[in-house]
Amino acid sequence: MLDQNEISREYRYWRPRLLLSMIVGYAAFYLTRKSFNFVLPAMQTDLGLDKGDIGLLGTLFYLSYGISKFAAGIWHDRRGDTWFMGVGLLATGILNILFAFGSNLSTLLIIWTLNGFFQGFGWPPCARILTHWYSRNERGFWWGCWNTSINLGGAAVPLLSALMALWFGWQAALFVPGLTGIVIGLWLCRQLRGTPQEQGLPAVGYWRQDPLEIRQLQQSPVMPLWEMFTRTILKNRMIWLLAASYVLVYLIRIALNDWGNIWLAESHGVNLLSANATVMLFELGGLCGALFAGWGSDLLFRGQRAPMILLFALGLFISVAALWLSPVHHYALLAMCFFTTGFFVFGPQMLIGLAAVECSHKQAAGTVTGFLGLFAYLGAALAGWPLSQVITDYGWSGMFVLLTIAAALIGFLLMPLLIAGLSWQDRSHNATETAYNLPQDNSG
Amino acid sequence: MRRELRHLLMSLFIFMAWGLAWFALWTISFYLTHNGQQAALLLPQGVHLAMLILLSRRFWPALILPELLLMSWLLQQQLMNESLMLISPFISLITVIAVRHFWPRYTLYWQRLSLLMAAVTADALLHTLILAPFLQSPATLILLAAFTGGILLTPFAYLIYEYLRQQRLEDLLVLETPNPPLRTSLLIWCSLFFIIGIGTQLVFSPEIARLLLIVVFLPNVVMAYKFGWQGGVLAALLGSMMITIARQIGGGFNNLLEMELFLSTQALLGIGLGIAISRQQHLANNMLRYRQRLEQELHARRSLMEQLVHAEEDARKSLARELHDEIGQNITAIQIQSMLIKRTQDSPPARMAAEQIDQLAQRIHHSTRQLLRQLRPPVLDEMSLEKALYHLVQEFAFDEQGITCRFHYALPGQPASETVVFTLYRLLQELLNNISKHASARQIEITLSHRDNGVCLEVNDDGVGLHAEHRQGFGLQGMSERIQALGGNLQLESRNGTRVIVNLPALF
Repeated sequence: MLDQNEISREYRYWRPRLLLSMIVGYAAFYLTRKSFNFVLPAMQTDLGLDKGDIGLLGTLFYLSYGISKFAAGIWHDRRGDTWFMGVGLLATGILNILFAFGSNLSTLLIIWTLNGFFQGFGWPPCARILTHWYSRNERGFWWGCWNTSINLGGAAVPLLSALMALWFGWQAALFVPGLTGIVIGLWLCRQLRGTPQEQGLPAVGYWRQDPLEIRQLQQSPVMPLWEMFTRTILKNRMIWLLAASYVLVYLIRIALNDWGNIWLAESHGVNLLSANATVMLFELGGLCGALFAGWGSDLLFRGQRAPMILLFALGLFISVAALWLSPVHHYALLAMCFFTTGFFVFGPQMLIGLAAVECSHKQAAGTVTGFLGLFAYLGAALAGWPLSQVITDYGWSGMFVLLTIAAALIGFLLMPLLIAGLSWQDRSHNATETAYNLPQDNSG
Repeated sequence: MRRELRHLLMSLFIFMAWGLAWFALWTISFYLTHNGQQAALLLPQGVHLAMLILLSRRFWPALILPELLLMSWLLQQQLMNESLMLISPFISLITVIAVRHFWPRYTLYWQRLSLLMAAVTADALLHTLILAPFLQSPATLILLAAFTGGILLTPFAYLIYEYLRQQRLEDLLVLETPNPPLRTSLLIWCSLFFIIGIGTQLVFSPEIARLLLIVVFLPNVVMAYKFGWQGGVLAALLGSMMITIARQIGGGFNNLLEMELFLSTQALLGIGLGIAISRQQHLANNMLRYRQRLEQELHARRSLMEQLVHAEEDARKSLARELHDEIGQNITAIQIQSMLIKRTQDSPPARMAAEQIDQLAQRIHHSTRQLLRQLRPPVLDEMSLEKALYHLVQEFAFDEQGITCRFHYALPGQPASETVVFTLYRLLQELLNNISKHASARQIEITLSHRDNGVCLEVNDDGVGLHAEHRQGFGLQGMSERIQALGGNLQLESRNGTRVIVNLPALF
């Protein structure tokens, strides 16, 4: 048994290290995931693909990614192998390089779907580490920091791809992320660790003396997998509401991410580099948004996520409307609008995942976020082929109408969530408590 | 140090989030007005005013600084022309400082909403007065822009603020509050109206102008009626969104002035109606609560009185029994002994003493019997109620005083409850007592009938009548309370003599 000083020392040693490894690893995952999107305009002409084909590639990728993330989440929550993330990254790197050699649509479809499968290995280890090494009253901040990896990877990619595509052709824009993935994947296999208990340390709730964290620990008894899944996830009303709003958030995020540069190029006449730079601003805004949302909810609402999601949903509504209604072909205005929309989209994207993890079972972090991921990538899949049809039939205003309505619906869906702010355990406890209490005098 | 750091971080958050939100609102307003200055006064102004009033003073720099920065950027980008707009946040501060002076005094939601609307009006007027001479836009447009933006968004910002503040104060458990903001059914109704409105507009595009009145005003009224001020605020916001969409689809408004006027009117209607209805509902709820409490108290009091009556009756009963058992037998024994002495002794002093003892014993017996009779009329133990009452009437010997007394007994038997029987007996005793002493009547009529699951006792006399001052003193108050305790009532009429009607629920 270690004493208090040694425990603190161990924690203080491992926490920043693990965070750094996670950030680098996940950013690399994003490199190998998004590499394809940013050379799309060049590939379109080179290989003769139309909007329907591009939409199909996107949809299949997101579907396989969503399913794999869920399955990997369940697997990793049970097994907890530390080399899981590294192996996935290695595989995606190899697949990226293979993709550069593909020439017809079916080969590309197969390779990219496999890429989606291995991409699903990235998140569950991060989920496990984030829920076990960081406590509730600070998790918003750390999770926000981790979320920056998404934005770093997402921002580095457009620039990198555009530069590579400009200098060496679009195949190079896939080689470089592929190689990076392989190298970092090999490094990552040795970097990560399991839960603090596996290192001989007490749970983080006890070290930080955080009552809400300890409460979640106590409400998470060991249970078999299927029971944990049905009781804490399927029967939890909050998870379903969060899942529904997650679909919408991802619809907006992926639509703007994937179609944003094409929209800019077509309707505002911006060139490829500027269009990609503008979408990079989207990711930059997202970085700020996730960080601010994280520690904003820690500070302002004492760790309650739902009120912050509501505020950001309102902001998202007005920023999507502003992006759509931005009347002049004024580049600076558009760039600012993209930054704003990115800020207000990544807030809910991060907070919904965080809220879901905090209101369910402690051992089910990967599972519940994998479950949510199914819905997220349903939303993303909707932003692929179905949205391409909407754009073909109704034009760009049709897309923006859809996105604005989605943003409004997020706000509406969250209201019951705020009122029913209970976790699954509290509700069953409350039910038995009120059965034993005598009716109170309600004349006061 | 921790607190300072907290405030710094919160200010940073507000700086970032509010700055971007201001920018997005400005862009939407610019689309509506095509004028940079009016755009800054339309939608951003409404939220800006609300936030300055609602948030703590230490966040003012974080609120004003991003606006100044963004406005300078817009000026540099040539999207705004007049640099005078930079003083607009400071003009708002005048109104805000005045309103914050009154803000802590008025805590009810309708007072605060009215205060906010007054602030919006004052702010719009101030902006027009100070800025209009120097800007290119006409004064009416400036006034309307500031007013419309405020009316639309300031109550909405207040609604969201109250909603989130409640989330903070409450624990993670659900509490029942008397006026919880934003119930879910409210949102379902909102969405329904919104969808119907959009659908109507899409289908009936050419006749938009006339239909808008129905499609926008009617939901406002319905929502305000059903959900109070929250419904009014949300309906106002949704209505304005529908109006702007109508404009987008093409048709409806000739110019900006008309549209802004329409927006303000329907917002004012929704909010005003909502406040009025909320107040009424609140007052009605209060009344209902007080009435329920009052009923509870009355009920408690009545049951207490009933218990008292029963307790009294039981006490008398046991006392009477004790008296009878203890004293009665011993008195009889003394009398027998004295008779024995009288029979066996011949000397006159002994016989006289025995005679004295006998007489004294008789007197004690007599007074004891009277006491017992007062405590618990034995007639009732020996006879039925009818006979007992008849006996009572006879005791008063009205015939000898020349008073005619008629007694009708029309009950189907004896009441089941002893308390009722005794109460009736004593009641009649008291009433006849009063009549014989004070009424100077010539005719008395007593009726006992069965009515409405109970007994109705009616005593009429043609005497001098009872005046109000006398009612207190003639033991009627006590009787009336006992009767009420048992669930009955006592009515008194004083025309052409006195008429007393007593209703007492009883089973037979």
